[in-house]
Amino acid sequence: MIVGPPAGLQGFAARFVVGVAMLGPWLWLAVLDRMLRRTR
Amino acid sequence: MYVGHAALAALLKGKRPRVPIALLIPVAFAPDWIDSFSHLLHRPNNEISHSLVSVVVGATVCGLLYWLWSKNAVDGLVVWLAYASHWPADFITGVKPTWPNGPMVGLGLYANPSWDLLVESVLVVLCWLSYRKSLPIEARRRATGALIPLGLIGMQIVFEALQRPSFP
Repeated sequence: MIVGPPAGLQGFAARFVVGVAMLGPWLWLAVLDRMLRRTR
Repeated sequence: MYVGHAALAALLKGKRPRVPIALLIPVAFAPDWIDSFSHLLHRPNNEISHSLVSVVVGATVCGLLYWLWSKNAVDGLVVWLAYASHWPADFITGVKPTWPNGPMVGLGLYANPSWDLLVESVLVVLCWLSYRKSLPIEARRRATGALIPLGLIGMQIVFEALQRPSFP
């Protein structure tokens, strides 16, 4: 889990970064796993 | 914990390749998704997203749903483990709620970003080594495979820097 955000707009921005940050590992592993398991 | 959750999902994918990793990763991050949405709704509650009780309930709901969908109890158990792994992983890096009005517990490794980076990086490499065994032999030799741990550790470094501008 990710450190608690500050309040207001800054807090929203921090949460937005957290949301984007959670998409990164998801896409990274999903794409690479698919590439590596694809049979030629 | 950040990329450690994804690493644990990859570990489970390696043990049970038929369960999609595109499902295991968001499930492993589920308490963080709930926490993020609760902040967007201006109703943040760490006990709902990250307490031991809520994680067990969430893991059980997800595990049962996947069991029903896949008709395979072991697949459902793997999804349960992906969700449930969140709490012990966060226990290492943070301080987490247990049950309503219960104690907050954890090792609080976040207080030391360098140690956090080291622990998560070691976890990423160990989980990747286990995951790698599930790949076809020719895929294990491909350099592309090494992008998994390198990319995850890179994301962890960027994440630490964004959260704490003073890092390292």
